[in-house]
Amino acid sequence: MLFTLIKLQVKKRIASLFNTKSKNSGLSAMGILVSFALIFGIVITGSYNLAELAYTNFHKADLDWFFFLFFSVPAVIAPFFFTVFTSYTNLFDSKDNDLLLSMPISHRLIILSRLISMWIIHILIIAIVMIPMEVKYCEKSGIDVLQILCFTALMFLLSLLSLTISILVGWIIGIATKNLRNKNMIITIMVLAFLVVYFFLVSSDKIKEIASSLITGAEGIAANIKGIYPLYAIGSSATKDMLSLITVLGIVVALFAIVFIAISKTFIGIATAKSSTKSIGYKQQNIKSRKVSTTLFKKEFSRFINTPAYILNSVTGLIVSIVVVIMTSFKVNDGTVNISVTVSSIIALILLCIFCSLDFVTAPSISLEAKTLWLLKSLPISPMDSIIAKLKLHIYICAPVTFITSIIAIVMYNASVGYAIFMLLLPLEYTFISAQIGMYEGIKHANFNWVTETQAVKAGIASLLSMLFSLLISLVTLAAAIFLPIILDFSFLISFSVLLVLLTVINVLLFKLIKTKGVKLYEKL
Amino acid sequence: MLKIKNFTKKYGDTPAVDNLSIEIENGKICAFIGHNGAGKTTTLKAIAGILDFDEGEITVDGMSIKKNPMDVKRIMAYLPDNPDIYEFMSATDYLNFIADVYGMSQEDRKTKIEKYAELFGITESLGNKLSEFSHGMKQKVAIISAIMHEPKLLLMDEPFVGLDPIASHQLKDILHEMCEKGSCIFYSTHVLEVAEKLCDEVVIVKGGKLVKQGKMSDIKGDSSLENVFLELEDKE
Repeated sequence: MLFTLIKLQVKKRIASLFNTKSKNSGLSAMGILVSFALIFGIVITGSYNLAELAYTNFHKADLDWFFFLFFSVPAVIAPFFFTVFTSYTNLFDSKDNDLLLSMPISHRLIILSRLISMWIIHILIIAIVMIPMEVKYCEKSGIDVLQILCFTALMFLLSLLSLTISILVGWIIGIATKNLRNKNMIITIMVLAFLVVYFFLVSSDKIKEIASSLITGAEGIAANIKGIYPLYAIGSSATKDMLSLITVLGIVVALFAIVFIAISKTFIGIATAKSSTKSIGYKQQNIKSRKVSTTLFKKEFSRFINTPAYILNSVTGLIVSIVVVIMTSFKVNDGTVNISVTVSSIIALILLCIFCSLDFVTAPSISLEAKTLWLLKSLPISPMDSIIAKLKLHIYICAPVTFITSIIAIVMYNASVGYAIFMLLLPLEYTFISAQIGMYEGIKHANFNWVTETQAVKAGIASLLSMLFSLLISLVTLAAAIFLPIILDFSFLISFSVLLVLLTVINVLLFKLIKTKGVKLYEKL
Repeated sequence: MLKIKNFTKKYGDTPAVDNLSIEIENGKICAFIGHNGAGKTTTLKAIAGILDFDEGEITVDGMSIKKNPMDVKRIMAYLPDNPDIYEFMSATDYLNFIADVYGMSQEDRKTKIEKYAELFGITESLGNKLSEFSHGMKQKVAIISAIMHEPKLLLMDEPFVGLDPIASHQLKDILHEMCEKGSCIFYSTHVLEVAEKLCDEVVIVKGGKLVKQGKMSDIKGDSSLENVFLELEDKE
């Protein structure tokens, strides 16, 4: 029974990522796997290179245990941040609760199967961080089977520890926000705030400074940490210290057992409780009647702000854009990078334009209609009215933020008037392009067979193609605008002027495509 | 009022509805009956302009759904079985959204929303998000959204499913009221006892084809609608 339940959980997780029912499921799955492969590749490379530096310093000081502890801490934190906001929902709010609890299945098995499926994700993430480090260790110190076994055991224990902390914190967050009216918005803001902080830390020198000081000052720091036995035990477990390994095993299993017992006792009560959100009731207010276009936009905006998966996935480009522009301007202004104002303005312009291509608010908007599509089709709403409302959503969200980021960039890079104009206008053109490409792809590859909104937003081929085509257009046009003036020796400002005209033409043609072919495809939905 | 002429809809090579012709006058309530998969939902969706169709013509008040879809939709309302509505909105926001689309005035929508919400007993819940509503309450909100702009043609797919007895009774009264004002109601149902008492006319389909159409009293005669339906189903 436990194995059956685990299989069910794993299938649900795979289905939430990969939509196997759509006709483009193969291509979409490939796109998602490629995206994961890219991210994993970056993390693995980073971990491997950092391990080289860390090993050199730590091994010299006979601090192999500290080498493993150094990587254990971020390894435990990484999966925690990926799962903490969803652990409560995955454990207690699953849609098959009623079905499973009505069958002769112990609720402990249900809990265990869900925990094991979440544990698998923790193991995968920790493995990506820690295995490159172990590979480096084996490269330098030689292959020792017992050491590898101890390391493997440590990896599994750390993933269990990470899971336990994630469940505990997620449980607290879940209980605190359960009866809040705007729970989704609160969680979205928390995650967005975390992402902004995370990107700032990663792109700033703070993380590197901390890592460098840990590496160079290892002896002093290690001496202090050695007094905290559990931390020392974590590190030395991987160095064939069996006593430490058993200690870590005992601590982690005990913690997990306590959390599991606590969850078991409260599971049925929490899983079957009705949300006791206070009823707002009915208050007479003056309601303004709105035009169809306004009411449609309001509906789109309402869906956007009430769907965390939509916000968090579709506007990553905006967040990254703000952070990268600001952080790179610091490097230019403090002399870390010695380049002219013209070059820095061009770099800022390129970054602003490329990041606009990463937003895909329109792409999943048709798919998200799914079971409510009958409303748009049966009401007296023309296809173009619906489409324009969705385009407006992308533009009204992305354009102002892009505009403000451009202004920040103009100020921080001390851009001249000429470049400032293009830093304001060109990113807006690319915003319009990504909105329209996303709209067309969203209609063409609409996917109504999703179970969770995350699936509709991320697993659809529309979002992937929208980003790819937008990125392609921005890279090709920007490359031409940068290299042609260099090769043919004319002003960048002339080149950008031509680019502005070209992008306007592309936008007009895209709008025409949507008005003609897009509407025909929409009518067939 | 509603004229369906030689309507055919195929999925692949298989006709879901085959050469269906129906006429329903203003002021009538017509039950649309058939076994599962007989083509009832397909027909209703085609009339509502949701599904395109291969052959035939569908007109409402003389206007073709294919040639003048917007004009037809403005005088019509469609209520699917198990209506999925915007759960991220409150009931008030949703009803106002529908009212905006149909161009209802502020006063008119306020009067209608309050009247029907009171009737269905959901006034106190109007401010809450639809995601917090039970299935039956969502059904009530969907019904209010369909009737509040006084459509000339009301299409419903199994409207009584999920409604409590009081709400069902009130819906029947509302439908009668609408017919007295000249609206035409065409709805599919499996609850034949209700259809017998409520409807003026009945259309029975089988395998996508029209089997019987006419006045309820003529079709059922001295028997019951259920017996008539079962006899027709038994025949090849």
